[in-house]
Amino acid sequence: MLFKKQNGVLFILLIFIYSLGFSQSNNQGSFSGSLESNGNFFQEDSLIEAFNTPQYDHQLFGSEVWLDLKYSNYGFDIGMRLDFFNNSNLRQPNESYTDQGLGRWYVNKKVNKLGITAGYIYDQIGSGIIFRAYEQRPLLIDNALVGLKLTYDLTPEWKVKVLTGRQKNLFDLYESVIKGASIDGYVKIDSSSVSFAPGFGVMSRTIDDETIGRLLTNLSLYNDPFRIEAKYNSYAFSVYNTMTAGPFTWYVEGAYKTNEVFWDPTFEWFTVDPQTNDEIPLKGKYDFQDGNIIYSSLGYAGHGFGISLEGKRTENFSFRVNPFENTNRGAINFLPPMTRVNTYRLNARYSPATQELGEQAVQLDIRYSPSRKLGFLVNFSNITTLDNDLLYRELYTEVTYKYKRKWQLISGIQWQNYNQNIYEGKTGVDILETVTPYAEFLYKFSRKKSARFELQYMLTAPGISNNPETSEKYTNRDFGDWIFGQVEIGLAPHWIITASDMYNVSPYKKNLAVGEKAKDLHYPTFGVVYTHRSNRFEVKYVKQVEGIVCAGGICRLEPAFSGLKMSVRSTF
Amino acid sequence: MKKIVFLFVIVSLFSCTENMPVVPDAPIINTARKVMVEEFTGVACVGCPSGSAELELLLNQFGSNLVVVSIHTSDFGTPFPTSLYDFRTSEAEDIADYLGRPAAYPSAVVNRKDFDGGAYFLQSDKTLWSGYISQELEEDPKVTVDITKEFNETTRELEVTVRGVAKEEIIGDLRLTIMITENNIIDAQDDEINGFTQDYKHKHVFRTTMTQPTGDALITNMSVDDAYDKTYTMTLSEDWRTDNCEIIAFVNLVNGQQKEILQVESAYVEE
Repeated sequence: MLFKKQNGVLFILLIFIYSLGFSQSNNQGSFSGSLESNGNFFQEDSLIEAFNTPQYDHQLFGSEVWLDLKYSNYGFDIGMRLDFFNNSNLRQPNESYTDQGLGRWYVNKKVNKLGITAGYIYDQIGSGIIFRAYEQRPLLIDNALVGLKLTYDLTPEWKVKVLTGRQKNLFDLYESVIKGASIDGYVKIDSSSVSFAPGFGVMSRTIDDETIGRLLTNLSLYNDPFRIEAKYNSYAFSVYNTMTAGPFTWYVEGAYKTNEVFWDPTFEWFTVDPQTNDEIPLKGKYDFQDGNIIYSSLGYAGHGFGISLEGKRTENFSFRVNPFENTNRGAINFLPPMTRVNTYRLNARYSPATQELGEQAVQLDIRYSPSRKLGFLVNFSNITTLDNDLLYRELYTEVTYKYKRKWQLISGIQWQNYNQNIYEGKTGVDILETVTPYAEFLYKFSRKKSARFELQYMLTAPGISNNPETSEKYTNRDFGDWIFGQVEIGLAPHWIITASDMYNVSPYKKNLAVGEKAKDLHYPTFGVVYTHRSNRFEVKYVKQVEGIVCAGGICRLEPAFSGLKMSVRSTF
Repeated sequence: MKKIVFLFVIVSLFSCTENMPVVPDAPIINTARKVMVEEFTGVACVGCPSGSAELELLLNQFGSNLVVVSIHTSDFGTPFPTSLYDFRTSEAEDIADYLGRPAAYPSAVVNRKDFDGGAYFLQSDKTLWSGYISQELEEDPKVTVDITKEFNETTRELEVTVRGVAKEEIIGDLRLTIMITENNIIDAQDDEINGFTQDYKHKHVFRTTMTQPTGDALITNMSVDDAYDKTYTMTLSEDWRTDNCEIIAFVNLVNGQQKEILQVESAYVEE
């Protein structure tokens, strides 16, 4: 049975599309769609610890496919997506996941001022702090709200939105019911360049009886003074506004969430051994608290100069379908990240995940281009716990120089402090300090032929800053120092050929066994991309070291990879 | 417009009160079902003592309906220079390979069952253990496990007989595993809460198996009232305090990838 769970819905959609397409002879509808498919051949490599998963052991191949189909006619937008996972390691990097079915369907229609959407809904309120339903395929995040959304245009400037449903959980649904509403507006001050885009939103989540039962069993473990209550319902409120005044843009959002049960992995407490009356220390406990968050960003852009300053303070703002979901699963909201998105391999190696239970963060980004040839960038971010313990700090500098249309050089240096204990759960390790100079050189032989070179060097524990508690230099080196080089040949418009190597130039391993030496390993990658019109084919041979993969502050630790990666993308 | 916004706020705040669920005291457990938790740990794993403490908390709650073994494997099991013992064994490594090693610690396998919603294959983190155990206790045992043993303190020879009958029809290969664990061993342990300590009390330490580490074939398919009866003998190591040693016997069902434990029983070597 191909689509075991939603045969009925699929059938009805197809009939509906068929009816619209062929019965409305005066309205020519439009079909569009896209295909994204990945195939991974796994080649065990115990040296880089790419082993001990079903794929390396005996499955040898895994794939993911998303096929999006959209149809518009007679004021209707109808779409569906077919998802296939075959021995895929995307859901959990060490697991194998196989399933297939209807990943999404929706019907959308505007009836005068009323907008109606039913099905799998992607949307957000404000910046997403109280609600964001979105898809992030590299991390297999797909928390679409499955239900109904209504919008109504009160005036051309003011719009109200209500929605309700349950969150998608792959081909299933979470039991908790989610509902919410928002009102968004736009106000322009007459005869000035000042405008406001204010909004207010509210979301609520009701936990189902079975999950509450499981939760109560967990909470019955706690005796005074650690005993807590539980609630079915949690509400989150958010007020936000964007003010634009000439070259200035100021966004501010404040949100409050009523008390609910959530898991706090850092909560230190104790239980008493009934036989000896000894106190047994424990770490990690469910807690029952309300939460709040304030986020603001102020930006200026003009005359070759741009600056943005962001600040955020988060306290107990875990908002999930139920308290048992963690990491990338079951999140109702999305907290904006407070660091730059690095793209170079070594600069992106240590990226901080947004901490929903407590962090305070600032980010400053300054860009200056005195001419079309020259550009400067400085980015600084600092993230601490609410007790001011350092989580992440980064200073990133970049200079860009363009010589006519012949060549371009981008170069700079990055300095990071990264709390590996918090971000990767690596216990007993110090803050990881790195310094990473980098350079990218692009040379155009002709309008169609180009070569791009990348070089990065990551130095660990360079001894720049001190641990404030011990006043000693940070010693954590994780895997040690790295060098990364890449050559990319572009033969427009069809071919891109890449070769790269990441080399553990000064390897390090904590807790070496007697006689064991840290290995200085190469992680080469060779890839070819062929693009023809809207089709893109890619084949890569990859050796990839264990590391963090992030998208928008949502991260996960991925184990090492060894093998062949292929992908096909197409839009039609 | 102001009226509409005001109305919107009022509506959004409407019905924010509820009859809150009552958190019960520890539930009274009235079932013959027992649940097995295989904890993966190591002396160099600084997060593991909090997992072990969580298991003591669960033992307080679930009492004799919960059986725990702490398996020290090579990942974090390498002893410190000041360690008196090396808790790692080849049998423990075989079990870790059979069940799948944890992605992060502390981690445990509850009844060798792949629960929906968050289990890392069979491994799960401590936030899930209590719920999984409760879930398993809601089911009646499909097969019984009874231990009778004889221990000769002089020769240190232990004879264990495990008997049982099926309570319902069971399809698949049934395997029997008998483990020996030792409690209350004082030795070094790193700990993120208390720091490194030389006199940490290690509980439920896996020592060996009397069967193959992954179990011995018991029977294929069982009808109601079908019985089994197996006897094993072994000489316990001089290094173990036998008054702290426990025998754990369980029957698991192997069906494709399924390895679920149907019932477990434990008994002290000396009692």
